[in-house]
Amino acid sequence: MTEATTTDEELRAFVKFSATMTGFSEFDLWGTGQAEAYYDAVVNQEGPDAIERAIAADPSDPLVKSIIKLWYVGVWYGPELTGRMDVAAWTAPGRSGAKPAVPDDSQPETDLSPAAASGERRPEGQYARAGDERIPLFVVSPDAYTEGLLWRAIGAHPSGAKAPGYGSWATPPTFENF
Amino acid sequence: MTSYDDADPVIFPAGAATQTSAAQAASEEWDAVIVGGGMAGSIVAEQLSQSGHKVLIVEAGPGKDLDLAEYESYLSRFYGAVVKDNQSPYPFNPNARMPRSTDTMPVGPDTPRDDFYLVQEDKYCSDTTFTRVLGGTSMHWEGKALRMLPEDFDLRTKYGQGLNWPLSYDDLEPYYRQAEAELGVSAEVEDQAYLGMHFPEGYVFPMHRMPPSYLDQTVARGVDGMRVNLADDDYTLRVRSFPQARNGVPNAAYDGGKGFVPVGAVSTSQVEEGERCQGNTNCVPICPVQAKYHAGKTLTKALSRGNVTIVTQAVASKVEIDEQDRRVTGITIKNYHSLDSESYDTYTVKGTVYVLCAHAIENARLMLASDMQRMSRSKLIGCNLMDHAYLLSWGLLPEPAGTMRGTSCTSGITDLRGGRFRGTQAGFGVDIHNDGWGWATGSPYTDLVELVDKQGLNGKELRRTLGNRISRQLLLAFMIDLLPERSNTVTVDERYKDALGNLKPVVSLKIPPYTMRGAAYARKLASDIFKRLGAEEMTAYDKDRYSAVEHDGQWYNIVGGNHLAGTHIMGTDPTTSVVDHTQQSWDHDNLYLVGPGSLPSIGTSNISLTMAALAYRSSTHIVRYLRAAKAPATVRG
Repeated sequence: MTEATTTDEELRAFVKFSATMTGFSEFDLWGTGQAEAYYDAVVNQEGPDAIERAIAADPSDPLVKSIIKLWYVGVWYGPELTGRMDVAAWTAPGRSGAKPAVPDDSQPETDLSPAAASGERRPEGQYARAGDERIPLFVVSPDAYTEGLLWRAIGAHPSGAKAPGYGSWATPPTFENF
Repeated sequence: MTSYDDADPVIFPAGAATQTSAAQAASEEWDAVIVGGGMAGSIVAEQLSQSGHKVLIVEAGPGKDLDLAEYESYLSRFYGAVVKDNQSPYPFNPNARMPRSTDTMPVGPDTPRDDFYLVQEDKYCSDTTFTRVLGGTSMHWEGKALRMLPEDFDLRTKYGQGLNWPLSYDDLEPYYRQAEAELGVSAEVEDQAYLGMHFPEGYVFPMHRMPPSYLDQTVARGVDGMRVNLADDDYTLRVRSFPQARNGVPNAAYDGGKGFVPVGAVSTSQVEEGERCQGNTNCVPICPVQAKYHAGKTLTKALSRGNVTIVTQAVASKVEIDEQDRRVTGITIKNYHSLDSESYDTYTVKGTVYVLCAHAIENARLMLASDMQRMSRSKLIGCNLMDHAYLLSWGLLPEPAGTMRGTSCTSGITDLRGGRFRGTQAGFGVDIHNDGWGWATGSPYTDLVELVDKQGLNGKELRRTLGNRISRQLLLAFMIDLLPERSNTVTVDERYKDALGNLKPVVSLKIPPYTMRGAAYARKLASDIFKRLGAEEMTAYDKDRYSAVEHDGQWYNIVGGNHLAGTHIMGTDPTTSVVDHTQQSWDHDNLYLVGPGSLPSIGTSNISLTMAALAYRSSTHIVRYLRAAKAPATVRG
């Protein structure tokens, strides 16, 4: 069996597992166009056996939680950031008045320099490879943001993309049956 | 020279932001030198260009054309940004830094924070922001375009509070209409004629009001007809649509039946982008389709006339003054080479008249750094800093209300913006936020992290719970009047300098009891409204947060609303104000300070529309000034 096939099988296993964990269908997940990028992000950050470990783990495992959130908002919150509400608030789009300040002593070990925070991006594919320094917090790509499952779950659209059209906000919200 | 017509697409002249070097700009003599390419600067430039004057705009931001490619880069940067605050679409610029709300830190008198752009020395610190790119803060403003109330202009006479304006509502009314046309305001006169606001017979706004959101309608079912008593007066509340500077459905009755043609996105066909608001729910920090007005639309018109030139990457560092006649002789600029380097060259640009349009904090910072307080008769440069104090209240509605859809805010409660109670406590407007609890809690991402990480939800239960919870969020933001106080200041201090060696602004802002009395009332009103709606109260204030203010034994979190004003107030007397009613400096004949810094009070309306109206009014005076200055000398008989 070639390595390519192994990877392909593992990618499919990753999506199947992710479908159960997110409550969306495999069809939905493939439809985001993000499956490969997310697979790469998990493997690059957590090592070559990360997918296998996640599938075997209990859903309460921090790695599984990182994968669920990745699909929902396109952000990689490393397992060490589990439960960090302040980090969640920084990453949320929208009016920033109440985004918590970034105190020195709670800064995640990521580059939250003003440049990084304002979205200055590394060239494509420049996220740490396995064995390199890990990056506990990043947006996988601009597309990953707009493909987040969260927005579908709440009967809305990603803030700043996929606009529903003039006046659409005046009608009652509808939620997908699943 | 490109002609411009309302029906044409708005094309930013290619290369306009880069083709003039600072050296060239310094080698020429200009009719007017304008500092700042934001809303006020663009309006003044456009008006002066119409009168044939030769204008130079000095812009601190990066030297990129504000065309579609640049705009799309902002959007992409926003999508990819880790911290999505209201500066996240705009590139980090070490040479002209912008304050960010995430810079806000608890500070004490002995431990000022100077690792960010705004230096803060107080216990209460502001998280206010302004944007230093072409188009200025209008790139990220929300787009609410309220007029000030007639009573806001003589608060001192009427209620014994604050300061009177040297202008009345009626003096400014025609300019409000001019600003409403330029900004493309969507509203109905019948909604907006309240608390004394009046309009000429037959006036209609350029476009019809934005449809109220389903959330607005839900709140209205509980609030409309609610009666409150305040300082012995009865008020009946209702949910009312806000005027908004974003494209809606043009009103065919506009301009005596001529109708209105909205201005679309810059440098593309309006069929593609920029026509009607599409409901991106992202007015702040950037409208993806330019349906919301930004100053680039006005700037493009100005640049297309051929007599307006812009020099970018040029940070105004000093206003040069002739010590004898006190006239401005030039503006010294530091022209940095790139965003990656701190190297720069220094030039002085010269004109007949100088117009500072760099917003309340930067105008004051520049003048103070130029040692102009020494020549000021009032000594009020940088004093009277104002910013609306925002008190947030949030609750969970009993049924899904479609939160997270629409423009950021379509309606609110405005009946307590004015009234006799203002003799003792501040008035306020109430915004119903279509974007849920985001401002208060970081929702919806914090909901996700809480449900996944803390409650351990996954799969379909997670999906269902998210939908049910976020769609029921209601956030009421009370925008409370903050009166001018001499002790609320922008200053400079030799100890604090930026990368180019320019003095950084040092901000000191305290919330006075008058405003806090309004806040305490607002808190109680929010609870009453939640009860009427059957909403679960979720508001929680934290006395350990930077924004904590104690009043009457209660703690509140009060945050700034980014409506900066008051640092060079207008008045009738050179000893008690910095500019006159035309925004001309009392102390320097050929200097105008155009911007919200001139506002002697801010009432309860977002400052931009009033700033724009004042910019139009001042432009007529600047044109007169230039005509007189350039007229051949005549023998007086």
